[in-house]
Amino acid sequence: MNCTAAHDLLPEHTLGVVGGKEAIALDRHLQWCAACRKEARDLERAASVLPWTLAPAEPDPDLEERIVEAIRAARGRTAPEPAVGARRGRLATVAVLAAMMALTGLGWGAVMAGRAARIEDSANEVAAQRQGDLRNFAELVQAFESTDADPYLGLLMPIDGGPERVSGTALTFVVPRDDDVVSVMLNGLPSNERRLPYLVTVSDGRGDTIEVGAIQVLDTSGGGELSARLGDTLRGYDVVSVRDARGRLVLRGTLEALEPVPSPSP
Amino acid sequence: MEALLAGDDDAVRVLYARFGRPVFSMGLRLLGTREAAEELTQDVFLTAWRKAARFDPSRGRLSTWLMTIAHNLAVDRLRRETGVTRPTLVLVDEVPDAPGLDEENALMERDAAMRALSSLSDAERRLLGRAYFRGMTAREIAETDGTPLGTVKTRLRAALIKVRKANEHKDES
Repeated sequence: MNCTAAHDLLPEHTLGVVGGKEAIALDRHLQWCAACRKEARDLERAASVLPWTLAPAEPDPDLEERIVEAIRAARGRTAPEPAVGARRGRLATVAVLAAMMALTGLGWGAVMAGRAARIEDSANEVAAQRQGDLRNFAELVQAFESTDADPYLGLLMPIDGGPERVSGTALTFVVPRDDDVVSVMLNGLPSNERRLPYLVTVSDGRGDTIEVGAIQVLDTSGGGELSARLGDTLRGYDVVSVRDARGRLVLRGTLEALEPVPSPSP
Repeated sequence: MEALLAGDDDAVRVLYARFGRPVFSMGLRLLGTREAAEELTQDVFLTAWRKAARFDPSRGRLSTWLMTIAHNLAVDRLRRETGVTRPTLVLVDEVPDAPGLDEENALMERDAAMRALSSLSDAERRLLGRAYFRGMTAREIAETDGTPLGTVKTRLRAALIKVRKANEHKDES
């Protein structure tokens, strides 16, 4: 979902009448789009006024006691959800990823915002594919934050004799009991038709190779993204390669396990 | 919120004293029966206890947070249990004023809310009420009224922004 579609749905979402796939897509969009998130919060504040305009109805006098008792009982069975701070280690890792992507010249936030904006501007097949890639990337980050996924990151370096300004980052998550995910973000790729599509693969030390997918389109700065879920486990597959349509190796990098970094003091 | 997180009985009672009645009132309007409204109220406070650690006062007011939880749970229940038919509800502008709110905070909230709502035209109030309290989508409203969908969406947004602006001063204070 892009910002235009999110903007269109936000009032209804705020009023609680968006459901199903649209609500899921919008929630995902809100996870990574700060501008839409801010608008959602503003509209939410407005909507939260509405219940107070109702004439108050009086609940049964014993409802308070039942609620106190229910929480007392729940306290004995389950713990409340951890504070956001408890997840800071992993979130801090995401921040490190963002910083590393910025070092490669991609800039996570800029990539997401800028490319989303360009997608918004063009309603063609190219935009649709790239929108899908961005959505997959957002899903991937979401999966990382909410599961026990093991993250691996690799900076992709240009191959000698190839285009010099090309750069990239690969990010994978090995997810227990679920599909593993791969996301690759590239920049500075030559965009002439003979080189497209660019094929992304991951390999292990024994020479086994898994095809991740193809980047079919690039933006004006030679940037492209690819995100995919793979049924195969990616554990041990630590070499990411990008080849052009003729099979020439353009970029390669080695994935390394990322450990959560200590969260900064509040 | 720390006391709530710890499940402190007094903290629960303080929260209930402030928000129990409006949550119950909203449940009654949306779900149509006292039994369902009481179940909803209990669910809202249990959810608030579970999620208390996630509440960030720098990102919004406690009442916004709690009422959003309440409305989301009510709408979920409405969809799950009544799906096809919607309860007969009282529209915002048809709700009679009733004396008897003895909580000072609740009175202030209600007063501010009524002032914010008075910034809307009758048509805008009715429109918001149909979506928020009846769970009607923009498409359903458009089809019922014979109004273009885009127009309904634009009006919903405009009405919410008006309420937001009218309520801005209170949020900042």
